[in-house]
Amino acid sequence: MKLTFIESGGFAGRIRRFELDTDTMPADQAAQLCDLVAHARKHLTATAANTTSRDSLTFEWQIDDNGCRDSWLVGELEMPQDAWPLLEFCQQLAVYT
Amino acid sequence: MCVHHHSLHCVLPPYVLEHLSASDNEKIRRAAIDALRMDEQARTLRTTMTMMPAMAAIPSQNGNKYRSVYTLRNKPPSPYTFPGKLLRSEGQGKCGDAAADEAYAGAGHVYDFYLKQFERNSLDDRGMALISSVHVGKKYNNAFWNGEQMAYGDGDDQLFRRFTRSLDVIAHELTHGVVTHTCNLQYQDQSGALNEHFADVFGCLVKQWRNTQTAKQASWLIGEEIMGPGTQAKSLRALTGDKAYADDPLLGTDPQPKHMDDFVNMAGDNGGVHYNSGIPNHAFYLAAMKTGGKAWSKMGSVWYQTMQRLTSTSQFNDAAIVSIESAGELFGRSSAEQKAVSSAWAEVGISP
Repeated sequence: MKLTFIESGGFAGRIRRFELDTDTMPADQAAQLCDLVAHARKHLTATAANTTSRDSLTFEWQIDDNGCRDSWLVGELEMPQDAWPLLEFCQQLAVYT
Repeated sequence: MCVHHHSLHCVLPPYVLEHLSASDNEKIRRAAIDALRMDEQARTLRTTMTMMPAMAAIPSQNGNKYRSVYTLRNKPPSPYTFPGKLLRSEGQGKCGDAAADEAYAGAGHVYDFYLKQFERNSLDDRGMALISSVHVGKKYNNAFWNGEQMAYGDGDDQLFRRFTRSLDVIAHELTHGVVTHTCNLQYQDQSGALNEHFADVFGCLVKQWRNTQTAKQASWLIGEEIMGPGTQAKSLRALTGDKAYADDPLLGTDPQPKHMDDFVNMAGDNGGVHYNSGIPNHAFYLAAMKTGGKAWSKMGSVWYQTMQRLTSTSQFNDAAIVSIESAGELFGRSSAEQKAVSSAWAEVGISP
């Protein structure tokens, strides 16, 4: 599974991101990420971006899982609670571009 | 209908709630707004509030300054967790929580600024309550305005310190509320960059007013007090011609342009609203430095009038036209002030 995570907006207005391929990760970490994605997939919609908040963060995921592609763009105030673990995992890896 | 607070089971059509939200009765108004907040069709709610921001304004108890500060106790920011547990409300003494006391004081300074400088009674000019939540998230490196209230993170103490430390941050967020209740600039592309621009400008001006600084004495930096020990950056943004930071190990280089030649076309950040705000920001700085004195009084007046006259889809060129016109109205046609505004815009590549 190839995953791209992009965090944008916020008061700083800076973009953080990372890209990874689970084939290059340690097996246990790859399994953890796949589980998080599978769980979040049930709750994330393609686009749930906030229109009233200012300086809140926006999160984007682009996933290619052996040809099965998902794309989510979510405002932090629209994040379903079940997707928070995936978000926390990704935020720890993201760096400023 | 249900009138008790935070009712979960009110299902009323939007047109009824719209009518009720304009009621003279504060409880009914609040209940209508609460009912909208609990609407499971969150997108419908957001669309409605975008078009009618007055619906999101929580009225104060006595029609003037009213602050309340809550703690989110490090829970993630979401409609399910806001506003949190009340720590301090208007008139009460310090609660001993530094973030809460800073948010309380800062909101008061911003309220006083808009009232004394522009006779504006809170963000909506109707005495809207100023609600803040602190300790948002865990090591949360952000602050935002959610359409109804402010939210402040504690920072990770590496890149950022707690966001309530900076008065310009507090004023920036509250000014988003003022923009919402005036020109309501759409938060995308150039109009969104103008939204950010006004928030930065009045963030600076509130700080300068509070510190009694002239334009030449001011730093014109945003977020000086929130930068953490892990970064060499002294601020997050600069309205001067300089980069706020360069080659920083955490942040890299400040990406804000200062001229239209460097306008950033991008999809992220709602079309670069925090990037391209650097262009009108620099224009304001130039105008303020050309005219000197107290920027909040001179160019602040011009920009406040401009903010009220723009529309939700205004572009940079529109802001230039309106601010030049406003300067002429306030200081005279062909006055030094009007010429300063016109030349400032020209220097950043905008000559309407």
